[in-house]
Amino acid sequence: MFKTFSEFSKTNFKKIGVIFLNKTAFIGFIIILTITLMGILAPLIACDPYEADISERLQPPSLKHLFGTDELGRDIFARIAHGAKTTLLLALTISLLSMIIGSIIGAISGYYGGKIDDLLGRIIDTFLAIPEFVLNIALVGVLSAAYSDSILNIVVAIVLTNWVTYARVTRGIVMSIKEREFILCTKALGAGDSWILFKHIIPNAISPIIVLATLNMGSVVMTVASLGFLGLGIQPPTPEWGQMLNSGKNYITTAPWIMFFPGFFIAISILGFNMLGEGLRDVLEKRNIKY
Amino acid sequence: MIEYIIRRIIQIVPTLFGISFISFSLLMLFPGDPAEIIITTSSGYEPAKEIIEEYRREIGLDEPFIVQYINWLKKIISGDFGVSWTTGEPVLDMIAERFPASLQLFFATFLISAVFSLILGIISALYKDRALDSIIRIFSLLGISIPSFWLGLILIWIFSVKLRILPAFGYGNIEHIILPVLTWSFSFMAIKTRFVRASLLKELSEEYIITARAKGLPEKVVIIRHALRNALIPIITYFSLSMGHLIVGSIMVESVFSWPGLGSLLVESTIKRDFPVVQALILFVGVLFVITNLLIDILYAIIDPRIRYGGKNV
Repeated sequence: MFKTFSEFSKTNFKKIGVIFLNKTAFIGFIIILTITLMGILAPLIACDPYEADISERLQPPSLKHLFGTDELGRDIFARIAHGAKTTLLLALTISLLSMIIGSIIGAISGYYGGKIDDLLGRIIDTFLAIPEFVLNIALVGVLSAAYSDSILNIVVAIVLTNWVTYARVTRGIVMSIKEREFILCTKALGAGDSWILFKHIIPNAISPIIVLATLNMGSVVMTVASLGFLGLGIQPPTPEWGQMLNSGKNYITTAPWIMFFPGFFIAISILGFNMLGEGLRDVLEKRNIKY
Repeated sequence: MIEYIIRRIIQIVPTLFGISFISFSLLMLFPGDPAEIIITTSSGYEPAKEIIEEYRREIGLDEPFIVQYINWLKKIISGDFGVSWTTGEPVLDMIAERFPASLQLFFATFLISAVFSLILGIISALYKDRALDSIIRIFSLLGISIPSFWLGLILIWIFSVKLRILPAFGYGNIEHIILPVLTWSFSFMAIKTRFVRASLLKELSEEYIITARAKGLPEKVVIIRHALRNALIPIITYFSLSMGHLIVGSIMVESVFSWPGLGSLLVESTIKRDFPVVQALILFVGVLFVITNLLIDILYAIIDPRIRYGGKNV
């Protein structure tokens, strides 16, 4: 248990530093770092992802076009590098929004209990009964009929289902912490709700939420790419990996590289987030048994 | 026993209402006018304003939200899911037509991945932190990270384009189902292998295992005869829970292989903005999940009296 916030942050940063000792977390971290750098440096390291050159269409990978060209003669490496920015920014925005909304709702529900908690419990049960991705598809379908901004539609459609994960976890953590004896002692000493929340509950809840958020980034990348693959995601010409894979599947016999590279980057990013998340979990939660 | 079953049935009622509410309000978010769409698709021409107005009143679209919801719910309960906006076919018929394909794909995948994940999970726990365990863990990490739609395309490229031994899509013969099942099993198995390994290792940290080891039993006997037996309870629960959601098939796998199941029906209907179908599918999946869970719980209560009296899930 941490006495003050500064003590808590010191301990936690020290723990996060252990990333470099945990092999899994370290590899995951390097993967994510590489892809992030690729996204940030895309304008410098790659050419224009929108420039179509019909005379260069369906070219196999070469020195001129590292990953080859697509059906419109666009450079696939450029589209992947720029696509990294699209994917990572979307994943970050969606996870952060879901985290904020979900943790607040979950914390209120877990802390106050009673009727609010009953209602929230029912809502969570309902969301758990319908597969998230089914709802994502339906929501994107309805939203895209109303609004033309495909990026905003995707953010809204995923956040609307994704917050539940955070609410469920936060609710559980808060409930288990508030049952402990030291909270009762603090209350007996006259501490108010906000004191308990900021000094005791948040510091204890933060590491499981960091782990959850990291793993969640991976699943958001998967959802965004899946929607893109189904033709329901980010609309062309904006480069997005899932959507590139979708157009590449039509050229699988003549130009398999169009579908190979975007898929590879989707897989490696998800792998990166999963490794980082699981490594962090081992480090932060100091489990005896490794799962 | 009967008291427990009744209590569980009462518990699912709010969830069922919640599912129906989500599914209904989805259509309310839709910006277009359903009355206009229905007339246009059934008659084939743009109807006059008066006709639309009259039809709106006829099907109750001018009523307040709650009244519309209750009317819709009444229809659903009597088995009327409405008609498709694009073909005019009853939605329920469309679902019934696609369901068998999804069911086939699911059970084939479930069977294969259940067997293999049990074997791999046990091996992994037996050789914890040794080479074999590491290989299996890397394999499962890849399984949860590699998107099934990409894996599917890679398999199509290998087996249909290069080797030409399996068809890339189609439905009906045994060779059509091989690639979809292989693709889906890879991720399905990965999640389950990890669960088997984790449950087994958790069981191995219990005290009765120390007793068994102290008795001088060989490690393999300790694991298989003692730990595995107890670990099987959560494993079976976990396996059966996945049925509720996945019985409707994998959306991504179905869409890669153009498998004519419910997953691809959902995607097609969403793209065509055929929302009555989407709405019915959400309801269908949700209700199926709740009912599967209920059945599993009741089954457990019959097997294990502790659940019946404690009133809690395992």
